[in-house]
Amino acid sequence: MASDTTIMPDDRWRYWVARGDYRQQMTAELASGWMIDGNQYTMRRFFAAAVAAGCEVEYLPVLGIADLELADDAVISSGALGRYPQLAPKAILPRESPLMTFSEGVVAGELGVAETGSVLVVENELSDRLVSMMSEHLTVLLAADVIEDRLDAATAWLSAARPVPTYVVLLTGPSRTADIERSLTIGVQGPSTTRVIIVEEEP
Amino acid sequence: MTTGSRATEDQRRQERLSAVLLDFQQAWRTDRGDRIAQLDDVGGFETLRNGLATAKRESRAHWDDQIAAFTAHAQEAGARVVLVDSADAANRYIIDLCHEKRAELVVKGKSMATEEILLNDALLEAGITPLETDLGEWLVQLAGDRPSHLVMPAIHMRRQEVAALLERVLERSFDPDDIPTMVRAARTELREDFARASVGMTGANILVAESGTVVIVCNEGNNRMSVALPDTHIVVAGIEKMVGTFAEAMNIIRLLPRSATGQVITTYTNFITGPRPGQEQHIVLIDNGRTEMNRRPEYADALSCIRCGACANVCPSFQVVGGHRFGHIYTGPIGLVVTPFHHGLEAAAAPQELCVSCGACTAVCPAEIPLAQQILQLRSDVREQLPGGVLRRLLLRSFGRRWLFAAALKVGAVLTRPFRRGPILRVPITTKWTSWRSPPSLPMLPARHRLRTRKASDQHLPTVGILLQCVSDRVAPDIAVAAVKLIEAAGYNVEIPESQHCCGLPAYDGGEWDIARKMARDTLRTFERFETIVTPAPSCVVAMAHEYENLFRDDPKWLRVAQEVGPKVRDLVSFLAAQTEKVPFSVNPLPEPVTVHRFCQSGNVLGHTNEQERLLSAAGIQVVNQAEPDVCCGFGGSTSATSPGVSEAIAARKLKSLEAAGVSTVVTDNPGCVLHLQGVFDAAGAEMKVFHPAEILEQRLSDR
Repeated sequence: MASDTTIMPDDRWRYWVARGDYRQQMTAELASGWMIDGNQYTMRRFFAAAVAAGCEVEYLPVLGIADLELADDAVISSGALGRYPQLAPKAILPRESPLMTFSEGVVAGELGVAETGSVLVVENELSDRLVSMMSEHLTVLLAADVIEDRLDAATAWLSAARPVPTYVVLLTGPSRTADIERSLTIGVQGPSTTRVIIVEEEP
Repeated sequence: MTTGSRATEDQRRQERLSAVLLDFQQAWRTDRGDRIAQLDDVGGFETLRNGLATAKRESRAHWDDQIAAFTAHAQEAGARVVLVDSADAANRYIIDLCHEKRAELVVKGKSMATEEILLNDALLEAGITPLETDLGEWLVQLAGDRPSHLVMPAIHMRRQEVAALLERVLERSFDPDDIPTMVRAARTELREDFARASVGMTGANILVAESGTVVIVCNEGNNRMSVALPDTHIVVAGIEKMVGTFAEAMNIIRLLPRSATGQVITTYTNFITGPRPGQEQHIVLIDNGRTEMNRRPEYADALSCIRCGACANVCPSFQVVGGHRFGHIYTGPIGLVVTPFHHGLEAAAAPQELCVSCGACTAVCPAEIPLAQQILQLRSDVREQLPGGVLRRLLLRSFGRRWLFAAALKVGAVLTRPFRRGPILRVPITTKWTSWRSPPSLPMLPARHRLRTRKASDQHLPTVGILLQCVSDRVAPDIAVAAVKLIEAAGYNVEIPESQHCCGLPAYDGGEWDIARKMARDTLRTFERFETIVTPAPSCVVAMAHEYENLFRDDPKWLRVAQEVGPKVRDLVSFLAAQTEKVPFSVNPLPEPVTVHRFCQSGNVLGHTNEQERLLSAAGIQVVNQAEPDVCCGFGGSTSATSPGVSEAIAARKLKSLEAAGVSTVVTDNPGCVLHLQGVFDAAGAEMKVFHPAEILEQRLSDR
């Protein structure tokens, strides 16, 4: 722990430190050794930036997908299901009705960006978009090993994808507005909470 | 309601709006500053914005190719792309399409391009209902109003107005202090419309040529629903949104939210390439004057705009009047510049008069658009192409003649002598120009006469040519005299050419460029022989080192002279601040602290920062910071003559900031600002004195 200040010279650390609970959580997780050294800086930046954007960030221990606590009527995107087949028993696919509102939706990220706390999600089908658009609470599953430091990783991802998927979104925090007297209000048309769960897959 | 009480009500509304905008500007400045500072990690703001400007310029150089590439790639992905040259053509295409889809309702994401082409009116006429789904746009639409800001469309509405509006429309009561419930009402209300609409329409923040991708940033999520839910998605975008690559797009994404709302990134950054399965996508690319703008080199860079609204967020006049007056459909400084190309020169004529030329917009622009210069270009176009202004031209022309001006001031000094009260003139009549700013008293002897009798300086020392500046020469000679003494004390041989008059800035700012050119030529002729030229007025440095090039753009002979002389002109403060050790200041500290107002263009155009503070500290003077040292004092440009009410309000903001510093002496580096603030203080009964640094520093010379 003595190396704390040397590996975290970045100012954004302060956002994170300010959140006492996250510090405790991260410290415990650091001690458990779940973050490999080279990735620590990026991982911490991601935590800090996502929290600053209004996300809750949690770390799910190895092989914990099956233990993921979800609402009974949670809807799961095909992307999340494809990546985490363990979710299959819980899977409810959304009906394609825009009037439908879901209490919880689960999507999976292709890429995390520490610079902004964003998760890159591919949602080509309407049903997948409904999950992230129409849920009151959104859960984003993100593999620890796809968290990259900078937005340039998203550029590289988009540039490499051929053909480019129909719909790619960088999701950062819950839906928000400040249109009435600049008063920040969370949850307008989209989810009012966004939870990013960092998943460590089996090597 | 009588006319009188209506006027008062309008005035109250205006004052409330100004107060809201002031809060917003100040909060935004902090947020934006913090987020922009983070960019140091990825190369820094200057590098990024230069990259953005370069990419956009590059795109415009090969516009046809990029549009063709974008079209090909988007069509490959299943979209249909049309390029239309006018607002009418765009509206026709969209209406025909809506009819074809039997659409009665169109749900819309926020789009300035559709505002530009007045699409909503056209749709309504065709029997189709456009429904804005961005919260601010929705409120503005419900109120039958217009957006007043590029990014914050309803910033002019108070929570009480919003509650009353929702109450009227939704027929239930709302508590103005419960904003979340009002926001929630929008969500509930709009859900059904999203489900019902067969056409969704959005704008685009970026178009990526290499892939045919439309990029849309948003925070609320309404854009994503407008894109995804209806079976037809129409994108309406100006062709200037084009960039070549994803890398160039990402550069914009780093700059746009920071500059718009002070966010690192918006909640949703959407990359849309073609329609979703089972959907049709139409991308309507509009020209509507853009190609014409690209043909005008003095305006073309405005096509780099990413519609962040930062220029409005630093604009002191915008803060006073809001976007409904400061702009046409596109608001803020960028709105002034693009309006003539989309909506005609007449539409920009009145709002452009409000620009104080402080340059804050140029300094903050993430696309490196020289907005302040472009607005002055626009002013010159207005003067040339629209009628009027006979009196202004007559006055400026007379002012341009040195002898006439000198004689007029002499007569003025004699006639107004009985009304002199120190530096202030107490005239017994009140006008809209003098009620809030007392005029300065006129001296019997200009600085050039007072300086004739001084001891000749040492010819062996390096020579400096002094541009006295018209104001400090003839109205505030103490400044010019003190400046000369300081330069001599720093070890220079000073020459004050007799043929000098005014650099031409007032005529340039007033848009009368033929008069400005004559004065500029006279000034260049007078000073071209010097190696170093120093003036107590940084405004003249701005004119000579930056604006002359613009003025002589089409005159190679004088352009060359201007380019030779420009870099040799320095303002007194930065000239001395670079060599404080050479000025023999008294070492005893001055007991009374001062606060500093920075002439806006010193920072925004000349890039100066704390030169005044450093110089004053070197002379043992304690400086107390004011809250907004860089914000214009209201004197700028020709606004205090053309729109005295606006200038008055800007001055009031400055007065507040200065009073909060809690000291009785204000120092500021531009003589125009000195006289302006002095008059403002006097009219407001404020117990503050204002000096040019030269006047204070001269008192601190050790050999006095």
